[in-house]
Amino acid sequence: MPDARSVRLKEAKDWRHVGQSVQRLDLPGKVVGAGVFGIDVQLDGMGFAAVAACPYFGGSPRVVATKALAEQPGVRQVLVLDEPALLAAGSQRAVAVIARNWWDAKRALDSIPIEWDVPFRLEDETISAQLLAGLEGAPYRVLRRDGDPAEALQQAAGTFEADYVFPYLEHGALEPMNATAVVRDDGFEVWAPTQAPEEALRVAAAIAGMPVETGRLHPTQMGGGFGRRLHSDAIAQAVAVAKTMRGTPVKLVWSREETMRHGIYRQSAMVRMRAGFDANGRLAAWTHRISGQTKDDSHAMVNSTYGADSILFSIPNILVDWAAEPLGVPVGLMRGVGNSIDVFAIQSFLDELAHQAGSDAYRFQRALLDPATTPHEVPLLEFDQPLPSAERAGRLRAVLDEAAKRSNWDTPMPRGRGRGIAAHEYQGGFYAVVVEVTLDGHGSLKVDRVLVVADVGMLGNPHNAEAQVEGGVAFGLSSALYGRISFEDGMVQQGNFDTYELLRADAMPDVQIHWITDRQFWGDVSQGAVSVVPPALTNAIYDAGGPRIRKLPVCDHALLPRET
Amino acid sequence: MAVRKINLSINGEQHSAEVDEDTPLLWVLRDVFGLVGTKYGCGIGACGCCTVHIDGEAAFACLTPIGSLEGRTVRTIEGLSPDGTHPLQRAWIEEQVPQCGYCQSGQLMRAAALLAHNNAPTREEIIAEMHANLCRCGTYLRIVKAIERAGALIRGATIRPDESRSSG
Repeated sequence: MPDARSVRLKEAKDWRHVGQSVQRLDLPGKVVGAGVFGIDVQLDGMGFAAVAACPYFGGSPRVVATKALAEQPGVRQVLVLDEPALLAAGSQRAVAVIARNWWDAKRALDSIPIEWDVPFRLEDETISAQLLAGLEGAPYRVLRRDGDPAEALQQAAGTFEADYVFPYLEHGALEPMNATAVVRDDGFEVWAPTQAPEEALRVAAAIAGMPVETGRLHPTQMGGGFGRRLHSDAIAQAVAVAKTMRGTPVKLVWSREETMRHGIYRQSAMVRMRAGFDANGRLAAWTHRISGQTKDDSHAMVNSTYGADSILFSIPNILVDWAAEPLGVPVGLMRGVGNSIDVFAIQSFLDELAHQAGSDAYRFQRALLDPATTPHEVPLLEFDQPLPSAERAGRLRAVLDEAAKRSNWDTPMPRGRGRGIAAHEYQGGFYAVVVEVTLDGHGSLKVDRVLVVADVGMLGNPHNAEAQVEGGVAFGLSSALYGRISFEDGMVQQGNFDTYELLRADAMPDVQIHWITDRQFWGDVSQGAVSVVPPALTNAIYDAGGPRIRKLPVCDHALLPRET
Repeated sequence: MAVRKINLSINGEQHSAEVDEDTPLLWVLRDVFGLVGTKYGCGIGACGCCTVHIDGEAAFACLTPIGSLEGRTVRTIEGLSPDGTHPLQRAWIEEQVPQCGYCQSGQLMRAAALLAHNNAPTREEIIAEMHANLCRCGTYLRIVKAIERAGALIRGATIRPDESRSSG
């Protein structure tokens, strides 16, 4: 193999295959049912495990009818999974039943209730109170300070403030959490749908008590990941079971209810936005406080603050800070990451400010995006595209202009219909979205159309990029319209898709995508639309005469005409 | 609850299963017969990942006790066509429908039952029928287009350019 430093890459103008739409290689298998997902792994002599994890975070099983469970039809073994290495891998303490098929295991597990010790009982009210305290107390960290925002707010001719509230979300991947493992005397093997194979192998080795070198991980296809499968909690459990049954492969599958009640959730958060206008009606001060939930991993900031501090607006005084308190709920990354919180707050607030200022949302935001005056040192995370701030502001303004043009922004909508606009940059992808809705006046909402203008630089495989944006629109709408994990008496209330709804075919709007391409850089195609669609949706609801929605999800609100 | 021998036809072949008669068809297909193309998503008939045909009608395998299937006919994604060339399977490739693909067995089986009854469904009829099946990746627009395309293939109709994939 040649030394990588000696290889000269082809110039963009000479590329032949990159940029062409080609068919995916995995689809012929997937349309005949031959794709092997984690849950589909089949090994000779395999046992099937079902688990019940403590429904209270941090709790443990107090009374388990191990003997009676073991006597149920088809059952081979009953185990309490509570070793420290499992907890370190993110698993809750659990009871596992291993049987000749998964249904027998699940039915046995459900037949005899387990009594649990409950360390604390989480309630929505407690969470809300703590997040509210975070809005009003001292910040944990200042992420960005330009100018003197406090002084500018003091001196402002007019100020405006709004709070935005976000629920916990579960990833809703349709393949439930699962993993298959076998532990032998000289090593171990794991088959799993994982977004983090190296981490999964490390966790499996720790649980097996064997060196990593003695293990093999076989990553399977994934029935959706969306960030949930960055975590190896189910893999850890599968290995913990398999090591008690040396030589016997074990497929461990969580029920849908286990998967939903033991998520690694997109965190709940509150965001307080404040703005100050100067005597000429110009936006002179902007503050953005995120009150979220900390977690001792590198994702904590991305998870709650990403998108907040990277704004490109020409505003002289900016403060972005973050309050974070542990709440005891497992939280992690989800498609859209922190943008799914902060972009909603920013783009909703801009729409509100535009109305305050007697402008319209497109022109108001456009005026703030000026390459000549944009701040020079807008923060970037490690995986951002290192484009200069001025270029980023210009690109964002360009997609906003194109979206306004293509949506006929200045053409009034008939009564009961509305359009909303939102724009943001995500990892070198510049997105502007216009959502059009119809309110029937009696509380019913229809999302008619979503127009996406995206400047993502180079498109590697245009058909796939389109699919990613269509999917991102659906994901964003699903979260905004219905997504909510709530707590009562210490437990997650939702358990399945009857209580945690996902977007269905009848609610999928027409999606029109317009690309602006450039061979000079590669930006995101997967996540941008996820976070830009929700504020465009709620801005459209307001434009259609509906309420101003500052608390998600939309389905909690009566979408009746505003009093005027 | 009782263990009983159940005889049924699956994908054109006679099978028998000796399991508790209230075991859902889904788990008999997957764990007894190894037909894992039919997926588990929710267990309550809310997601459609387990959609199969029972005597030609789309049904949730997760809600169908095996004991109710004595002498009946089941078709799964593995038996939709002998070689993967059912018009829907061809259209699914043409439109590049699946993303992760987990829900697509169920989507295809529901769409196949729809087209078997009505090979020229309106867009509204397609959406009303496919409402039962969730897709978390959001492939709904392509599913609708692919069903329209497959219907045209079945009818022997020419596909107009504007019926083929067009966005972008």
